[in-house]
Amino acid sequence: MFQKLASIKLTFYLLTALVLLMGCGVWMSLTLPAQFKAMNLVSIWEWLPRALVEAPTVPIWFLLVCILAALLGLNAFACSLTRLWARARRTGEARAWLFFILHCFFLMVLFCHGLILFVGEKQSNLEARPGNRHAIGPYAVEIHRVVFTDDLDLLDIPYKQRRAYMTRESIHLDQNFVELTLYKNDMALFSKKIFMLAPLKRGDLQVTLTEFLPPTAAQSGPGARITLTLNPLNRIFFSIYAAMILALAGFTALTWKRRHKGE
Amino acid sequence: MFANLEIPSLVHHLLLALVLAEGLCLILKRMPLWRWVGILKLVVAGVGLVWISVQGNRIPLYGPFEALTYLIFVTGILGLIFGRRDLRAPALWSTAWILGLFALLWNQPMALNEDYYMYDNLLVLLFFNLRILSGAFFIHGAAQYLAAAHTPGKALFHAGRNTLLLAICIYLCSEWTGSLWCLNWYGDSWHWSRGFLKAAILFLLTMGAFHLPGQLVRHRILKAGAGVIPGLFMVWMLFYH
Repeated sequence: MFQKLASIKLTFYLLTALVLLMGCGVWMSLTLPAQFKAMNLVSIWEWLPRALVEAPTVPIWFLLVCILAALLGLNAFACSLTRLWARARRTGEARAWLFFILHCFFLMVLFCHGLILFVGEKQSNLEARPGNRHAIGPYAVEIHRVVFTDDLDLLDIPYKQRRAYMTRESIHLDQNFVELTLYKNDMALFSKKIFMLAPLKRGDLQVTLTEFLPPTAAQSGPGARITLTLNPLNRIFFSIYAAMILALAGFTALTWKRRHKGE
Repeated sequence: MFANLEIPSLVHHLLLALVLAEGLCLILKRMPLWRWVGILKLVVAGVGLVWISVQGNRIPLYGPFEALTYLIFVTGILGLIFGRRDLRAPALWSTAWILGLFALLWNQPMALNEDYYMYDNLLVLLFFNLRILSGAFFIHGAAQYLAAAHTPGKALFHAGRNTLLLAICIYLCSEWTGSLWCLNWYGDSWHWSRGFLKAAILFLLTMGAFHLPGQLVRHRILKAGAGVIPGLFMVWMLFYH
């Protein structure tokens, strides 16, 4: 059973099935855009049970992706354990060890990628105007100022048409910001300005400025949208991901020269 | 307006003429002349890239003109570096690929991409630029696989495998920076969208090429086909996403 699970034939079939399933996902993202958008707004854990009841097509597709990815993970695990580990120990060659390590890193990336979707909390598209307060886990943020120094009319242009007007000359990333205070268990920690593409990161918490909003009838100044995420795995994920790329580069270098029979 | 339309068009047509000349040299087996035409092509593509960088105040990112010029430049360099042994067959296929791209982009406007306020961010620049760079490696690898299908021996298959491995390394670097960009933009390293799903498909296709079952590995055409598919998909992603 374990040998069958470790077979390269199974790897190939699983990869093919995943390609087809991802292709279906591309198609569904065009035909069911609202359902796909909903997946990004909260953590998958929150989204899944609700979506299964309301509109089950995308959740079923998502579960199939998870099942196939888990099977691919099992396949890689079994192959690493039965073949790659044994070969590395038998030959003692650097290339065999690196091949084994590469597969281990791939497994960790796959596992971490899956886990990152389910672990933690997320609150998207929260309105940030002076005086607003939003909480996530033990943290809370209070908005003091929203500063947008560029032309406010840009914010009134519909989102899809806005792209052409948002140039480096018209939008200055380093001059537009939201100033907020971060609290933990109701104790003020510090105040900070957050910019687009430069979020506030503290431990597992990230406060991200996603867009600016035009003034409203009630508020004369601009507003903004922020996303609060609490995820302990982001740093680990990016570190393992980088290590996997390095292992792949190392393996490529070590196996660059073709080995002839008997070598 | 003049700078934005005329120079890209001139570079594009010069490159087309030089790639056609390269193809002719290869068919007529005029290899020394082919080398000189190739160097001239690199110079023209290099001038195009410098123009993009100066005019756009950034490195090349995507779009018909920027991506094609960059692809021609990098595949040209790869041809010179890795094409020492048995270079005619892969060079012919590589030229055919590039001519295919010219045909694909025949009616597309050749111009600098519109500016965007995020183009000052290093992660954004690296994501797009490394993606085209990996695209050049995918195309070069695909040309080697195609040549390997009808060339006796395994050397070209191994060369294609090496290029494909380099391509996926660069591609993963691009995806790594893209995920970090996404984290800073949306608060998540993964975004459920067609862009992310297509990116995952390319990774899976490349993995598929390296995990062929025994009976497929022994079949030269199928093995070559598996090495070509990621290149085809990359072209689709670069020019039709």
